[in-house]
Amino acid sequence: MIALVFAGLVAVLMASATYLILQRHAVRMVLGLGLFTHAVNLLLFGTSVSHRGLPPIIADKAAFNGDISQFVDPLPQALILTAIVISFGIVAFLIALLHRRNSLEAIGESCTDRRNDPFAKQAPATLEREEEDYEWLEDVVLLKQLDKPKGRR
Amino acid sequence: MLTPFLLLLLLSGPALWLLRPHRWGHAGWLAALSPALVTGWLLTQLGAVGNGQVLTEQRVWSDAFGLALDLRLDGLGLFFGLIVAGIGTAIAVYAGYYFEKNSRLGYFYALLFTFMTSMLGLVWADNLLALFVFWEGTSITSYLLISFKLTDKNALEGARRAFVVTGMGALAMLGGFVLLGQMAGTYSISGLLALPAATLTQHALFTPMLVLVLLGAFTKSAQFPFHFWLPGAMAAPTPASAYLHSATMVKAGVYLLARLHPAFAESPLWFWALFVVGGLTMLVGAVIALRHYDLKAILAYATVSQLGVLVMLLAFNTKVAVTAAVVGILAHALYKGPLFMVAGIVDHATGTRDIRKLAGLARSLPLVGAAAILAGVSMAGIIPTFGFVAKELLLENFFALIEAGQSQLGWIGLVAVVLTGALFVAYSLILLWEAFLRRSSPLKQATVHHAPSTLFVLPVLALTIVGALIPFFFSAIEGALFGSAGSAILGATLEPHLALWHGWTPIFLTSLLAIALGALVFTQREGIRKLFAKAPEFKGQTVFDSAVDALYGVARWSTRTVQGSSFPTQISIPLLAAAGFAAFALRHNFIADLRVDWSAVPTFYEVVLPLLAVVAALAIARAQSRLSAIISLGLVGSVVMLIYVFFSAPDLALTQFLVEVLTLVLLVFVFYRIPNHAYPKPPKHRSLKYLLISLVVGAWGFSMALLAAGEPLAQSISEYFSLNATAAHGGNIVNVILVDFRGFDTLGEISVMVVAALGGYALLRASRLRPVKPDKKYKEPPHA
Repeated sequence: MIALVFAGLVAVLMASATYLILQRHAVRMVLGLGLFTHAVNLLLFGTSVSHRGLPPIIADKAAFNGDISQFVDPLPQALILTAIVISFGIVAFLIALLHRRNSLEAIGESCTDRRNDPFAKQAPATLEREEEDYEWLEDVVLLKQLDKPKGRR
Repeated sequence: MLTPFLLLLLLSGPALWLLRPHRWGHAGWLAALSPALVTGWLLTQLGAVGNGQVLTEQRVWSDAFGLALDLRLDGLGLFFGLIVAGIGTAIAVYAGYYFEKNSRLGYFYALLFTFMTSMLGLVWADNLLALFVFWEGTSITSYLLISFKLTDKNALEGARRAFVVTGMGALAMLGGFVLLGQMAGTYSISGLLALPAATLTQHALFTPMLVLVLLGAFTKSAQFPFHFWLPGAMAAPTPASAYLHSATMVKAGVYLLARLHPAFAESPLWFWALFVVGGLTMLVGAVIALRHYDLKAILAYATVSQLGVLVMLLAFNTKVAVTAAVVGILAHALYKGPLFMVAGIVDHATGTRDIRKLAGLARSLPLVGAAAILAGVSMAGIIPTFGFVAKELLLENFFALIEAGQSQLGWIGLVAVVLTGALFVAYSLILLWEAFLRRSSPLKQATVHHAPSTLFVLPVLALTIVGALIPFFFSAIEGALFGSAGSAILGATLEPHLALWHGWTPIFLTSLLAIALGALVFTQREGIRKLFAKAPEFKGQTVFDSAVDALYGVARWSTRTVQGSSFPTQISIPLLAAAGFAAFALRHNFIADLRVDWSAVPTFYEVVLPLLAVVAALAIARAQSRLSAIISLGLVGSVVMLIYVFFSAPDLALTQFLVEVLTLVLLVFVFYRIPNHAYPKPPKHRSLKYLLISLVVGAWGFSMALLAAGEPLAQSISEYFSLNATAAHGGNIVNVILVDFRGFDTLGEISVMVVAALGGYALLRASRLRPVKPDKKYKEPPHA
């Protein structure tokens, strides 16, 4: 019964996360990814919920008699603990990436289309594009040097 | 003494490279020192090994894993070792002159000596896996040697073809070796051969094993239908062609067959595979050799044909056949090597290898001509040469077969051998006559503009003379050289009695018939060539190339279908694939596997909280404003945290809480700075498609969650962790798992965090590039 509740929750979280990720919208993608990690963590956690028990902490080590049936399964918890931290790292990185993309958009580089995709079905004249990319890069580097206020740094 | 010699050869290559041999003339003589030393030592062992002694050597690498390099020098190893080192000596001298002032001479030597080491290791190895390693060593050096001319497209393609064909064969062979090792219970070759033959041939895995091993041997020895890579390999510099592709490397396959002969020779599959493939290769190679005009191409196809002869001979388990094979191997090495070297000298001297443009070289280059004629007569098998003896033994084998009662097989073989012999005679004569003897050529005749020095020709002459003299010293070496090698192949004592002249036997008369037929073909060569020019040619090369192209096509197609579209499609393919695989795996016992335990009834909170999370999740998916979406996400996170609390996971709850707050803060901060673009809503049908995909993924998650909550599929390790937590001096089992039992996982997690933090820092710093001056602003390209 409790497994059904968990499965239903995982299903809804996964479906909404997928729906968000599939939208061509960066912000929604980040939100979707966050939702997906919750779903996967709960999926893992579901393996240990049918057997209820105490938190897997041995309060008195000296008196511990090897009776582990009182505890819940500690292994999924250990795995999820790692997963939470790593997914936070990824989401944080994605947010930084989003921020960076936004600042590029402010100088006119459009990132939303698929012209930069070398495998796109209608591949544009990629060679020309590449050359322009480099020119642009040189401009930016040049600008950085120009912009540097004298005396600072 | 075996390992020091291998090391000496292996090191002398790089040493020569460092010494820059192209700066000093006559460098080849110095380079030849180490192979000459090995040859000399092997010659001193002839007496002992000829008497049946076997030298073994073991170099332990890792005792704990039972890894050691086992080397073994028996009659066969000595025989092949002499060919490898002896011809290697001549090639080393020859290469010094061939490359003269070429600055890549040192590189060539480095490759050549690496190859020589691999080849010697191959014939001395007493372990199947060691043999495989050396075998691949020859493949790789061969690949590098064929593609020596980096600017030549033909060379690069030929190298690739050779490498792919022999490499695939070698992989198949490795599989065969593993099977063989499992069947025999040992990877030691001598241990394997010591087993009674029936234990292997009666084994259930015998047929697949033999097929795999034979694939390796056949591809390496350029047997039909894999013969096409060998002529392509002729793009290598001539010293490499002469050495690898005629005298030694291509014989690796023959060596392997000879080595395993005692174990497998009783199997009918062995006999028919070798007999049919070898026989076909023999005929096909000889016929194709007639269509070509390039000296090296003719010789390459002649080599293919000769390799076919050797493979066919190894099919038989008789003394005559084994003797014929051993003599054939040496005879071929001693005439084909020099002939290739002659081709290289001719190319050097005249600038062409097309025999239509050549004429009268015997007069302008007398020493080269002499060597060519001596070797060519041996290739044709005309009395009194070594080649003649080899051919007589080959014929004798089939006469013996007819006498033994297998007359059908004997006659078929005899006819094939006579035909091939006639073709051998024909193209040998064509080659000698057109390039060396006739007065003028029909086309614009090439002239000798760059006569070779005598020292250049010396190694060629030396090899030819050795080959020419051997028949006159048969009584001195037949026991020690051929006898001991043959005994190793046969698995029984072999005492050959070789002679140049047996009298007017039927064998000799058949031999004469072949020569007469060959002479006839020679006189009719113009007509036959015209006929050939019209006939279609089987081109394994084209088949191979189109296969490679098709492979690239498949790669392009699959990349384009899987990755070549918009991001939503790209991401939905793996998701749907995962759902599909799960559905496939669960289709039989879906209900049985997804057992629901109705007894664990949830409490009130445990139903309400998930419901809250469900509503929040749906709210994110439908949210119009970013802030409400972020808050809903926070709500889901909080519910998850509470679930952790309810189900006794305090550590998780704490971590989740911290992470949730951090994520929320980050999201709000960053999104606050990003202008809220109004993105166009996707068209209705696309929204519907996305909804459908989401539902499928949701269903997948549902079944996975139920599966995970049911009966454990495998035994869990958590009991061990729980019981041993106190031993790790910890009370919190989760922490003990993370820090003690799975410490490396945690280390990996920390590294991920560090990388993400560094990346985020770099990205945030880079955004300080703003603002940009308007006149320097990046302009959209015109085709945007």
